[in-house]
Amino acid sequence: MSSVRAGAGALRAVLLLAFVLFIILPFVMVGLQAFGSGWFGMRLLPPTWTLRWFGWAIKTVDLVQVLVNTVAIALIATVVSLALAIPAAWALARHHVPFKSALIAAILLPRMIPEISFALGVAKVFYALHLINSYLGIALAHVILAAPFAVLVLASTFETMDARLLEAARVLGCNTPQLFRKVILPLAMPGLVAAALFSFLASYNDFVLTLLVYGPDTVTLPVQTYLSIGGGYISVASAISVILLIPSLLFLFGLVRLVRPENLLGGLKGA
Amino acid sequence: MTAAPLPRLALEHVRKSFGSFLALADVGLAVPAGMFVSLLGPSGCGKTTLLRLIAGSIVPDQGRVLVDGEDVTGVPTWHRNMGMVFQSFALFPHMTVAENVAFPLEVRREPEGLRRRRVTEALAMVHLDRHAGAYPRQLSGGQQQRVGLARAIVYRPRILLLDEPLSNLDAGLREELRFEIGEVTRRLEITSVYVTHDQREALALSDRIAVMQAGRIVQFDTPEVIHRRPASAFVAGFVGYANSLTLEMQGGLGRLAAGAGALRPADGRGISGPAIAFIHASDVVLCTSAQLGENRLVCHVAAIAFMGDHTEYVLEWGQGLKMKAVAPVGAASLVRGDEVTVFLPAEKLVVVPADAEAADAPAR
Repeated sequence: MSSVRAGAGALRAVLLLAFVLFIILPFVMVGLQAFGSGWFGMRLLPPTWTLRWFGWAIKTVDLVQVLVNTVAIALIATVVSLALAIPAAWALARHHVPFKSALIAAILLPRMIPEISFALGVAKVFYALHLINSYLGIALAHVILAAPFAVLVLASTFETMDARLLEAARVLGCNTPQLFRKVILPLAMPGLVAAALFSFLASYNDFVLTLLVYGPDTVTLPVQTYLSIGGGYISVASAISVILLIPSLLFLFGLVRLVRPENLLGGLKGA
Repeated sequence: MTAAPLPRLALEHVRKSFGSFLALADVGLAVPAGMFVSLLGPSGCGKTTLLRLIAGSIVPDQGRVLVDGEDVTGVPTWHRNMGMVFQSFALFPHMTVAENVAFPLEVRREPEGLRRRRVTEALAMVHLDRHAGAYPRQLSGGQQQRVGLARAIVYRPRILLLDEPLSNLDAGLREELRFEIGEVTRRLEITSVYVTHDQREALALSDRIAVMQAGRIVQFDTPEVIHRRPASAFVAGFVGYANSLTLEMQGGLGRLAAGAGALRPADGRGISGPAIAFIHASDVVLCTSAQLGENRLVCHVAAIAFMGDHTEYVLEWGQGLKMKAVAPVGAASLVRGDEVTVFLPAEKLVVVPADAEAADAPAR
């Protein structure tokens, strides 16, 4: 009995160590690099601390413009993804659709295969359509990655929405616009917020597809990080990485607070 | 000739199938204003389909739904002005109790002042004034369903529809809420249609009961008549007659198909041929004397169950035929295996022709 418990304890320790090593440590390294100076060789910590690299990043690579590019593209990608995903998810979840599982597989395909394998195809098509080096073009490329996420999240949201609630609203006097505004929208809000955040982050964080369709006016944060590393500015690249991290972390913590899943339970009794 | 007042709700030759399943076969029903009608029947008899059809959630294949003489068959559900209480409660989880109750007024764009007054009134009526700001998940099942009731009456609908509102509640709460539903509907004099499979609920609440079987209304009458004079073996079985005896009727006398003996029911004159006699367990009289004759059977006590305020007996007569009887505690001191003569009073016996329906009668 106690040996089982000891074994479980050891396993937990190993998993925790693995988590720290593989997930946390790289972030720590990047952080140290971004805020440290003169950090070479086998030293555990940088000898001096500085914000110089952030200043450099802003000065040398026009970081503000890069940030504007990234956010604008991510917003467009989010809007387009939701516009596509909401009707698709509603149809998948609430209507009889022939070949449903094949359809879902097809929607998920872009997430299942490496981006690089179809990035070239996307780039070729975009060159032909003059979508290279434009916000819309890059955003559309990101929709390929964001929309499947959004469809999946929203389909499960719509699926769990109880048809009996919608019927109740109807009997109680709700017309179609009211049904959408007062019942469906609030009930789907957590799913919509999650889908929007995932879409935004899929675009904000994307590197591979962006690399093949960006241009001088549309450099994004991940691409700029790569360019800075390529230019040998490891500390500047680290500073950009830290900036790149901020929205992801904010969203991660915000998601849990904003969505409040517990508000959607209760009020309904399974028959 | 004076025209009879139009019924609040009328169904005319309503028919509905789902695929090859005939859910409603030519149903007709007229409910006068202010009346409380129950649709009583086993699951699959079409009672819920009928209710949803009145509500407008589903459209009949044939026939018409009339409200105050006006054809509403094609009117969408949200324009029918009906109140509905749901088996699943169907409260909006993202709204407070007060917001849930205000919802029907809000979608009707009623002015704020009226809205607040009506919500307060409705919540007071179901004794939930203190919980106006709570969310549904913070309430017990009974409280949630009272919110459902308040929400259904707050806008003074023309008809109140109740779809098995008690079946998701515990036994104690069920009785309490049943009482409350009776109270509220009587006070508002609201025309109500109540779907249930529980004959006690239907008997306790209704002015009229429509007993349904396989998509048809097989009897529509007052609870007393349904209970005392069921029209068929199915109805008798469904409204809780514990005992049935197979007879061959001739000239008012029924010869028992199994064992010896004969029954002379009070109203058996019009029936001849195979028939079934029903009697409530509480109407079976246990005799101390072994006197024989009409309406008397010799039985053996097969089982005894002490129920607190009364004792239940399972009596065996003939080959494996059983009968239930109840007696006040201390009335008879019988033990298992005793021989006892039972008397089945003529006026308590209900005789119906043995028809095909008898096969569908639920075992009780």
